[in-house]
Amino acid sequence: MKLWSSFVKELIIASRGFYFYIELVMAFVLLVVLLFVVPEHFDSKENEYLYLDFPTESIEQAYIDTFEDLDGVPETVTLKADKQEIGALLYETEDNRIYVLSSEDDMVLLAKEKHTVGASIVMDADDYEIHYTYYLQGNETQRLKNLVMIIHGADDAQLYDAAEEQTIVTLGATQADLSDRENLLPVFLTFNGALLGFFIISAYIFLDKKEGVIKAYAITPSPVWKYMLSKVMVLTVTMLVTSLIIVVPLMGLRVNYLMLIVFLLCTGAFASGLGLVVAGYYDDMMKSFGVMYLLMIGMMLPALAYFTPSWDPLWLKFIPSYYMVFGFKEIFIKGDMGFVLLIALAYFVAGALLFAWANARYKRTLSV
Amino acid sequence: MITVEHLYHSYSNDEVYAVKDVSFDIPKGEVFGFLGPSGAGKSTTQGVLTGLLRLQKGHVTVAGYDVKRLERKMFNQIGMSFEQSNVYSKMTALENLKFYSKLFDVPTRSPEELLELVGLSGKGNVRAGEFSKGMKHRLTFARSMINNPELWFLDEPTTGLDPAIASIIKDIIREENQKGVTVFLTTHNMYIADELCDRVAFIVDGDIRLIDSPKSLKLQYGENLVKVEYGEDSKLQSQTFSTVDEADKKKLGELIETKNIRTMHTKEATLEEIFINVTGRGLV
Repeated sequence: MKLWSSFVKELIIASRGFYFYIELVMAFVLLVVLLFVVPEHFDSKENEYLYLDFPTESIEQAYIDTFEDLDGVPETVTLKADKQEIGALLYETEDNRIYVLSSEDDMVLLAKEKHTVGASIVMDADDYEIHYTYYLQGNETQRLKNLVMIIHGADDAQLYDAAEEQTIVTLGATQADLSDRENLLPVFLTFNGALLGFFIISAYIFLDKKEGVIKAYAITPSPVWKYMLSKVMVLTVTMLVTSLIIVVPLMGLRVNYLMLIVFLLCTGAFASGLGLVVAGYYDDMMKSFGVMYLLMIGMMLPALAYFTPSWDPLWLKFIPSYYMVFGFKEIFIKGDMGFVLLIALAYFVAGALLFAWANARYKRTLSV
Repeated sequence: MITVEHLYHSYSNDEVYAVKDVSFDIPKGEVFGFLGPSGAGKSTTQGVLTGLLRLQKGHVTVAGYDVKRLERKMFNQIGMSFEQSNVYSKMTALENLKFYSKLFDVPTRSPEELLELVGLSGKGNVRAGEFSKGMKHRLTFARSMINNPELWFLDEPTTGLDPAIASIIKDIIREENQKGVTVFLTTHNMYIADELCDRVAFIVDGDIRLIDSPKSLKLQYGENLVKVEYGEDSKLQSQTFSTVDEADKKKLGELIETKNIRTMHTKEATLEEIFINVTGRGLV
């Protein structure tokens, strides 16, 4: 009853405060960004600009036809660079858009303007030897430069054979595919729920410290932990609502909502516990700002690993939000639910320990 | 109702004590004034008694509970009015009181009745954040009565209030005391202590220097004199007479019969004068 009264009181205060609406507005902003700004699938095709100098058109066409997956039917397009209109033939493959230009100067201009790779491929009319000249941007890795230098030294047939012999095994073939837009959800949920929640519960505590109401609560039969738990409950409910505002319109019924809610509650408990502990060591928001800022930046780092799978150092796995991002992803792709439950449990336990720490801290630092 | 034996408290957990070797007893139904200047140890002692500060050294029982092994149910019997108003500014006065009433396990008073008592009737649905300082103070005071406390801690209950409201607050304290409520009054205002307290303790530098009733202190430290002002030859004259010396008593009688007496005051010492006399310190 006391806990329920405290919870209702916190709901009233939250609904009349500024931070509650920050969370709601943030959720709607994220939803609008996902729906109207982020495309369903990112355009990942690369543009390549080629200038071909071959003795006859038939040889040039034969060369083009050797491009993998080219149907040999080009589209005539007009490109703009440096206020000039440049005509080109566009060949579109699964991974690339290849623009074949009629002059080397145009190719160089486009490579420069569009910040991408250009190449001049010239066949010697006497010995039919092909010479490749690449125009790079200067920021390419040494590995790519080395590859460009050696690739034409190898026998084409040998390269094709080696490629053919490679076996590609798709792991997790039973998992659901996410669109590029849906793929952003785990990071957005981690940011919206855990990180914003961590910040907002601290703000609530600082507001109460300013008003001195914790002391008044401490002189009632209701223990201080109920006061803190009521705050955690309000924050978790807000986090649940704001997360669902984002997830439901995007994912519809393609999500195991029970698992999502369990995971949100557990990560919410963790974020709240962390916020309570931090707020326990400072008198006001300004004094805690440095630590809170560092923690929030640190917690955002796993998002980089999420978007850059090749960058996943061991130390990153010690940042708690790492498993939040990948836990949400696992729920959306309907992956290993055992793993999700395990990390949810870990967050819950960590949240409980942080809560106990905060409780001890608040009891010790109540002052007169 | 309260027993304190050899209480020590250090904020730095060393030998630098904010209160040292403080001992006193407060029987049920007494109004006990804890008087001293800022930083004397009043709030520290009150903090230990109310459980806001951990008991480090000494023995303290409050309302029959050992403060060393604090039980939450003890707070059903305790009310506390803070010097600094501490109510939820985003909640209305009524919501504040209703919320606190639900935190107790004992029958509570009607929030509306309490608001009326402190002169806030009609303001129940106004958010506390919109209240003036004095109104917030009254709301904090009203909240401290919500659980019908048997032991009532009052920290500067009339600070910042205008004289009319302060008078109402003092009347409420007297009424509650007449119902049997024990009052622990912390203040540096000697006038309110003089008016309300059965006994007062003077505390300076964490040390209790004296405990006695205001009346007894005045008798002990005051002078047995009467100062009389009277009109004579269109001028205001004044004379002081001993109330013990027979010759002076006779002269006083004659003066009353023959002169136009304007004022007559006994020269008893004020609590403030006694405090300065005993502790060698002022109250600010």
